[in-house]
Amino acid sequence: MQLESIRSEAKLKFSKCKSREELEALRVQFLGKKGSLATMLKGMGALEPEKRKKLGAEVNSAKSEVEALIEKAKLKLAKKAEGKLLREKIDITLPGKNPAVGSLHPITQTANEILEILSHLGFDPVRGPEIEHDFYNFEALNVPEDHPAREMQDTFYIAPEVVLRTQTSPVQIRSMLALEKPPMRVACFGKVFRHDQDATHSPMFHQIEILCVDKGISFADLKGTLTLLVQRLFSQDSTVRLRPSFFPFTEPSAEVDMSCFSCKGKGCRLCKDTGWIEILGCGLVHPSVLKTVGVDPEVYSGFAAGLGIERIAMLRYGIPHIGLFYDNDLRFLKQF
Amino acid sequence: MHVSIQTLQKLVDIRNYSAEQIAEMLTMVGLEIESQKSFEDDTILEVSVTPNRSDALSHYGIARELAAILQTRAKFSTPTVKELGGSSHDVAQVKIEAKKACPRYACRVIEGVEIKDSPEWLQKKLTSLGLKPINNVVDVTNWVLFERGQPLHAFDLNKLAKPNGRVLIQVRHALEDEVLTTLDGEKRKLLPSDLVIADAEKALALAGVMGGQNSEVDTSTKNILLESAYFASTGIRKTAKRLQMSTDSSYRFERGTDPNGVILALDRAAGLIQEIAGGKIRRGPVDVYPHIIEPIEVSLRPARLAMLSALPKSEIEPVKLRALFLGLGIETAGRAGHEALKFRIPTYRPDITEEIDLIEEAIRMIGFKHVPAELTSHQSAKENIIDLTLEKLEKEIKSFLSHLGFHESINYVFGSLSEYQKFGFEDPIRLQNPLGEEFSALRQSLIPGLLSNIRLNQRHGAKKLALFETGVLFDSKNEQGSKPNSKSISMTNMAPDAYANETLSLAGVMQDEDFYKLKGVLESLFERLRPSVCFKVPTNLPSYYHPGQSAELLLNDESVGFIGYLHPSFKEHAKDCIFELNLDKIKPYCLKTVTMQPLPKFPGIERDLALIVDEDILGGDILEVVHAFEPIQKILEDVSIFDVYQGKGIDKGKKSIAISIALRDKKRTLKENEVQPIVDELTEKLCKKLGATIRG
Ligand SMILES: [Zn+2]
Repeated sequence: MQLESIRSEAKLKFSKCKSREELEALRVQFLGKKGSLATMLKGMGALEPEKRKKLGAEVNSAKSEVEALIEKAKLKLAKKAEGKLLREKIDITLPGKNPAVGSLHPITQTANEILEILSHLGFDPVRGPEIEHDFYNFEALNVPEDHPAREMQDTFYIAPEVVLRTQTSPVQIRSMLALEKPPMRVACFGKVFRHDQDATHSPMFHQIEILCVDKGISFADLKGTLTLLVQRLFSQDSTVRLRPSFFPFTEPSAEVDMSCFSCKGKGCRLCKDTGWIEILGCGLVHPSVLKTVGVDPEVYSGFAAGLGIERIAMLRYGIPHIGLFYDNDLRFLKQF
Repeated sequence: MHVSIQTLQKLVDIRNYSAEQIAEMLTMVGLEIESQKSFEDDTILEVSVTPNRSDALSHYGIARELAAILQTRAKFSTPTVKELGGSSHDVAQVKIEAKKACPRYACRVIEGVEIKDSPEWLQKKLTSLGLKPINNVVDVTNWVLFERGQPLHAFDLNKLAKPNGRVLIQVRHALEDEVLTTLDGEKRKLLPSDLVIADAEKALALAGVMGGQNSEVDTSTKNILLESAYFASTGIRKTAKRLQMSTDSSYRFERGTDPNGVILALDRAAGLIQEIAGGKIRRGPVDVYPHIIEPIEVSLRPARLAMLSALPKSEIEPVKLRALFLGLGIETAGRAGHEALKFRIPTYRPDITEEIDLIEEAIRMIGFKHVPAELTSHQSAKENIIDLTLEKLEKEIKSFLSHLGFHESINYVFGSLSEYQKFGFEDPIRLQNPLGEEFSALRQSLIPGLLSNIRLNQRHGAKKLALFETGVLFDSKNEQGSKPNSKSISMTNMAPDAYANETLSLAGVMQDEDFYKLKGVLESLFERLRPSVCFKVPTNLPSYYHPGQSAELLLNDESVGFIGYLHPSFKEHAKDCIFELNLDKIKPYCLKTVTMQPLPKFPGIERDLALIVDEDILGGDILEVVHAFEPIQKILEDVSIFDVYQGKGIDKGKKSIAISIALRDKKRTLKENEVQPIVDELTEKLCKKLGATIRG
């Protein structure tokens, strides 16, 4: 019977099929519009209903059979292809071809992070000159000429009454003078200079000064801001402790300690067994500083804080020696 | 300053507290304990006293704080003196000429003392505080200073001039050219601004700073004149600073001593000298104190305290405040109106002069731990005083370069003058008091610092290193900024009233790298930042660049930087490539918000041309001709050089430059037959203008 020979031919041909192209050609040969099965149905209309029905069923079953053969062959071909790809393998353990990767200085990274946190709290970045008039660096900050507080900061002089700024605090004065009236929240990042060099002091280092002036600012605002800053910068469970201190341009003034992240307050070498690490100085803006810049201290109050970036970076990254920041030794820079 | 726990124990009841607890208590009221060490059976604390707290520079001062913290009374004794013999006035008289510099001067006369080593207990006390015992009389003056905070000085009475049988002590300013050899053996040239203690003939001591050798107490001394005085802080500070002499005495006078504690300390010392060195104390101190300094009154509004401190009401009730202040020796002096309390400030607290000082005292004693932490409004300034572009620009540049393989350096802004001069910076701003020649001048370029970084890393074997730095450069202004006070201050980097010109600069160096690689980095950077900077043959090149292998960066015809190889005279860096860019100048043109251009709707046409030109014709010359060619301007999308060739097949002295021209009309499809005549005309123009021929 003709249908039978089509079936066996299909079986044989599909089992020998070697490529996708061949498979497609076979599909057309058997199932195509002009394929052998379609040809079988031609002229079927002339048959009597009984025979026509029978032939139709037989052709359909042959069709299903061929379709199954196609699927089987497809699977076989795919497996074969996969095996070939596996043999075309590469050594994935060899090193990658890296594009050169640079780095940002750890000071930059630390400052960026602090400024970012502060910007969420509404502190805008400001800058000021690095060579300052005595007026901005000292006088306007409540440090008159013969004040003993000047001894706290050994100063580089450029000319009489002209200094390399010893702190970023003069930017407080400049910001307040630039403004018609409060409110204001600013953060100033920059280099500062002290006439001092040893294992723990560098003649140049970096500070971020923050200043907030508004109606009704209290020490609670300062404490809240600094607590948040320390928690975001170090860890959520950090606590801060304020100790009374003295800065000429703030009163009351405080040193801020944070709980030692290394020993969690139990005492270790990092915190000199106290459980606390000193990280910044702060206070409420002194009324005479406000007066100097034409802000009425009876109406407005404010707070200021100064952070030493080197110190914070040293704590965060475990850097033992401040001099490392300025050697710019690649073996150091690359680590950050 | 060092204090002994044993001594403190005699002044205030602290038996129930360990040294650690005492240290903690003091630290938490602002007297930070920096170290703690045992000395025999005693414990010595090192207290860091802030400059405002002159009252705390003694055992009495520290004991007073502890008493206030523990709400107990300090056991301070009033010394009594056994006087014998005639009046002091018969032997010594005092005349204060410099009344402003010395509001009070007192002294006592002790006759017949025996100078020898101090008893063991006193030697131990001094040694434990880090002082060197000298002899019994000098040791007593030193001890009383550490006990009560009042500096004292003993003169050998027999060494003083007695014109009429009596010593005349004068407190006066030094004479022009007056010279005094101080106890440290230094011959000091004095100025009329220095205050001296003198007899009728000569200066005896640098007042409040150090005694003189000519009146020194030594083993042969029999009679002494013991001084206790109150000197104004300003003068002492000036002298001590000018002569670079910081003594225990000057340290206290500079910060302010108690004018009304002068006699107590004098009597205490006289009694102690008599006890351990023998001798008779003459009757009565000589005490010249023309204008008594009275305690001042300062008022405090509890409402103001509540507002600034945010302390809970219960902590700052008037009753509590009064008790707290009383512990510090600050007595209530009634009320000032309805809203304010008035307090009398003892003269040993010269730091308390206004309300805010009392507010600080209150918070200090109550403790910051009672202040709540709050985050209220986050209101920034309404006016635009800030320069966000600069912040954004610097951040963008830094992250861009670091992603391209550059490492960020941070160098000192000061460097060696002679090094800077090698770079042609003849006259940088100099420091008046540098830490050394290597830190003596302010930088005018970031390159010297970056090159020193390259050398350091080279020694460690670094190859192909790329570094950059951003930072301020300093240049003298022609007119110096006047003393500021105006309100017209800008918060940009360059404040108009700044003393010097400060420019924010960016510089980079690529070690042993091709010029075009670095130029490519800058081109990408400019593509990102979007200022239209072009590279031109330099007209004003700094001397440290290679004159034939460097370019000047121009923006709107203004010079904004340079790029090139280092001048071969920098032998170690002959293969290094550098660039510098003035960020202040390019800033206004950077990071502008772009307006989106519609995507092209019609296809464009690309044409390549290979031209043969003389070898000194620049690629830029060709591009310039293309850009200037009027008929092409409306449809020119881009023109770029994609190949430069010299050698086989090209005549000597010539080179081949291949350019690619992209043309597009925004409104319609360009047709070949309309483009061809334009390109032909352009080719002709290039040949005519540059002497080019077409490479066939
Ligand atoms: Zn710890």
